[in-house]
Amino acid sequence: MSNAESTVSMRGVTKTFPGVIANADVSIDFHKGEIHALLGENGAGKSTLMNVLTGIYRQNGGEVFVDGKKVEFNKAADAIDAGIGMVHQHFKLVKAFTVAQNLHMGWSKTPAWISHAQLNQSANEIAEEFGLSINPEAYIDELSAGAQQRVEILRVLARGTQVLIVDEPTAVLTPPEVESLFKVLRALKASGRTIIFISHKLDEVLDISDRVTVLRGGKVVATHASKDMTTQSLANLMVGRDVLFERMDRHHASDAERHEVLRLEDVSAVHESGAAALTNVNLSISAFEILGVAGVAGNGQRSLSEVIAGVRPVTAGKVKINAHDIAKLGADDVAELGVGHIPEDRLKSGFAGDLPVSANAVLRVYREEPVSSGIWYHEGAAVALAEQMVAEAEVSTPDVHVPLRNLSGGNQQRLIAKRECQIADQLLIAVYPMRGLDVGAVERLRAMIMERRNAGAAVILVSEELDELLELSDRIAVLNHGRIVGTLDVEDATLERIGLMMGGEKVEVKN
Amino acid sequence: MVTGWRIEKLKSVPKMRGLMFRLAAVIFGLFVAGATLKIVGFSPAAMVVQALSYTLGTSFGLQDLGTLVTPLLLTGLAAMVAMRVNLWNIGGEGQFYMGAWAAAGVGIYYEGPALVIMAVMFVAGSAMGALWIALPAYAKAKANVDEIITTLLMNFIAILWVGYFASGPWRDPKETITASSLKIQYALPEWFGIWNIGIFFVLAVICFSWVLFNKTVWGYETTYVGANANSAKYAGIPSSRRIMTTMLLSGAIAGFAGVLEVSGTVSRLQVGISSQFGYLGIVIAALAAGSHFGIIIAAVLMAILLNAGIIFETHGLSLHAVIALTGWLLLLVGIAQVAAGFRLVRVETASQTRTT
Repeated sequence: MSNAESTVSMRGVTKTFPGVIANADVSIDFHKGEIHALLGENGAGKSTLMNVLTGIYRQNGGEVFVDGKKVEFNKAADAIDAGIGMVHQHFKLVKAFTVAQNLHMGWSKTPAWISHAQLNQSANEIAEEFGLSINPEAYIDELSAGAQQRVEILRVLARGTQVLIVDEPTAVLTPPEVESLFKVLRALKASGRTIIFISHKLDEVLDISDRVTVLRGGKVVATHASKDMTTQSLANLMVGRDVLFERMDRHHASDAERHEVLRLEDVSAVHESGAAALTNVNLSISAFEILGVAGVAGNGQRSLSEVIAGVRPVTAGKVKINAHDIAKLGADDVAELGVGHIPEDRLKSGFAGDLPVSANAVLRVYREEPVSSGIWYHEGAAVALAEQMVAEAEVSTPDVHVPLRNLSGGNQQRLIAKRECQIADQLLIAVYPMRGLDVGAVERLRAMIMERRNAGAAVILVSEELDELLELSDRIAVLNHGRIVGTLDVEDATLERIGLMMGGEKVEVKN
Repeated sequence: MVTGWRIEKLKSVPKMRGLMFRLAAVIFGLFVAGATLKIVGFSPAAMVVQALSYTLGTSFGLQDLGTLVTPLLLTGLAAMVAMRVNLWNIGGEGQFYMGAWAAAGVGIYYEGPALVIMAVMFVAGSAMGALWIALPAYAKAKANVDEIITTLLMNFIAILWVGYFASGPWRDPKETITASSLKIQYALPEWFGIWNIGIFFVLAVICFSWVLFNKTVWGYETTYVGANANSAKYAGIPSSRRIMTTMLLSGAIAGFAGVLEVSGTVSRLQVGISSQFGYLGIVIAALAAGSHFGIIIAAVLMAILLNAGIIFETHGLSLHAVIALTGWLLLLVGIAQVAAGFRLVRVETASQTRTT
C-alpha cells in the first residue's frame, strides 16, 4: 500500500473537529533523505496534520505508515518511539535548567542517579554525534534564540529521531543564525533523515526544501519539486488566486514636499525594570518616506514606538513631531498631531477585547463629532462609523456588536490598521503589523501602509521580515540593544549587510 | 476508539448565556438549601409559600420589603460601579455607616427649613461615603495597593466610629435597650403609607448611573479603562483618574444609602444600622454582572430572601442560616460565571490500549 521509498506515508488522513474539517483526505509521502516543506496560510491545516503525525491528535480517517508499516499513535510517546520528533516554534525548554539538564529531561535513557559531570559529558557526546556545538553547562535563558534552537534540535535527535519536523524554525532567528540552521538541516538530510519543514516564508522554502506540499483549507493543493517553483507560483497555490507581489508603486516626492516630520535627538528611555531600553537614538523621517526598522525582536523596537507615540516618557533627549516637542504631551495629544500607532500586541495594547467592535473602532475619534458632542457619547453614531470602517477595511464580522475578541487575528489587524491609518495624516507607527497574518491579509496591510506614504505621511515600519522591509522601505535603520547601529538607503541594503548589523556590527553610514 | 468529553474555552460569553448560567445557579442553590431543610426536619415548601404570601401579599410585608430593597439597590449599585473598572469595593458597609453618621450629625444638630436640611444631609452623607473610599482609591491609583484589603479594613473603623457616637456623645439617654442617637427630626415623606419617597431617589440614582456609563464620553472612557487599562494608556485615556473618580462615585452611592436609612427608615443613628447591606450589595452586584437592570432584579430577589428569613425565624430557623444561604448562592453564581465561559464538547479520543 505505501511507497517503499517513503519513510513516512500519510494516506487519506482526515481530521475533523465539531463543525470544522481541519484535514480532509490528505495524502503525502515524505521520502528518506529529503527536506520536505509544508506550506500554507494560517488555518490551512499544517499544525493539525503534524499533531496527527506526532500522536497528539488521532485522525478520524486514513492511515499513517512508517517504513512501510501501518502505525497507530495513541499518544505522543508512540510517535517518538517510531522515530518521529518535532521542534516546536515555541521551544519546550526549561529556562532555569542547563543545556545538559534539558537534553536529558524526560528521557527514559537518562539514569535515575547521575552526577553533573556525567550529565555534561553525555551532553557533549550527543552534541558530537550530531555535529552541533553547545555548551552543556550554560543555562537556557543565557542563550540566544539560535542556540536554544540547537538544544531543542539535539534533544529531539538524541531520542533516535529519523523524521524531524521543524515548525516555523526561522521566525526567531537572525539571518546568520538562519544560515547555520540550514547547514544543520542539510547535514541531517545527508545522513538519511527526513526533514519536514513548516513555514509560510516562500523564499526560505525555495532555498532549503527539495519538495514542497502546499495545503489550503485542510486539503493538499499540490506537491512539487521545489526547483520547479517560484515565490509567485507558490503564493498563488497558497492563496488560490493570483497574488500581486511586485514592488509597490510609490509616489516620488519633490524635495520641497519631503519636509521632516519626525526627529529624535539623542533619545534614551528605560524599561519598567529600570534597565536601558533605548540609548542615544537619533532618527529623522520625512514625509513620503517609509523608514524600516530592522532588528532581532526585543532590541528596543517596542520602546522606540512607544516613545514616539507619547506612551513612554524619555529619560533624555527630545522627540519632535513637525518641530513640536512632545515631552509634555499625552498619547492622545500626540494622536491629535496626526500620529497613528499600530502597536505590537493588538489585544494587549490596541483593543479592549471584551468590548464590542464598535467601541474599539472609534477609540481614536470618540472625542469628536459625530461620535460625541460635548460630554455626550452617541452610541448610534459610533456604530454607524464602525460599520463604515469595517466595510472599507474588509473586516469580516457578523456585526459590530460582537466582542472584538471574536474576530480572527487577520480581521483584528485590518481593523486596527484602518483605525490608525485614518488619523495618521503626519506619521504612522506600525510595529510588526504583518506578524502572524496570512498572505491575503498581508497584501491588504501593505497596501494600506503604502497608501499612507503616498498620501504624504511619514511611516515607521518595524518588522522582522527583512524581505518585507526591503520591499516597502525607503530607508532601513537597524536596532541592536536599544541603539541604532546604522541607517541604510534601501538601494544600499542587502540581506547580508542588514544581518551583520542586526548582530551589532557597525557599518559605515552613508549620508 | 472511545468517545469522551473535553472542556473548551469560549472566546467570549454571550450575555444571555451568562444570565442563564447565573439563574440556573440560583435555582440550584435554592433547591439544595430546600432539600437540606427538608432533611433536618423543616417543611420548606410550606415555609416558602408562607414567606411569599406574607411578603408580597400583605401591606406589612411590602413595607418590610421596601425597607430592605431601598438600601440594597444602592449598595448593589455601589459595588457594581466599582466592578466597571475591575475593582472590588468591599467597603460599601463602612461607606454606608459614614454616610448615615454624617447625615445624622446634620439632622440632629442643625435646624432650618426641612427641605434645606434634608438636602444638606444628602450632600454631607454622600460626600462622607466618597471620603471614606478616597484613601483606598488613592492608594490603588498611585501605588496599586490592593483595594479589597483597604476598603474592607475601612469598614471596621467606620463601624466602631459610629458605635462610639451612638453610644457616647450623641446618645439618647431615654433609649435604654440599644445604643442609639437622638431622634432626627427630619424625615422623608411617606408614599401610600407603605414606602417613603426614598425609593424614587434610588431609582433616580440608578438612572443617573446608567446614563453616565452608557451615554457620556466619560462613561465610554471609563468602560474602556475597565476593559483594558493598558490599551487605554495607548489611547491617552487617563486611567488612574477615571478609576479614582469611579471609586469615589461608588463610595458616594453607598453613603447615599446610609443617608436614606437614617432619614427614611430608622430616624436615629444606631449601632448596627446597616444590617450587612454593604456586604449584601456585593452579592447583588455579582448577580447583576454589570447590568443596571440586573441590580433591580437581584436587589428585589435578595430583599425577598431576607424577608423570608425573618419569617423562617418564627419556624425556629436562625437568621444566620439565611445569611449563610446568600453566601452559598454567591459561591454558586461565581462558579456559574466562570463555567459560562466554557463548554463541553464530545470528542473522539484514542483508546487506552496500544493497538500497534
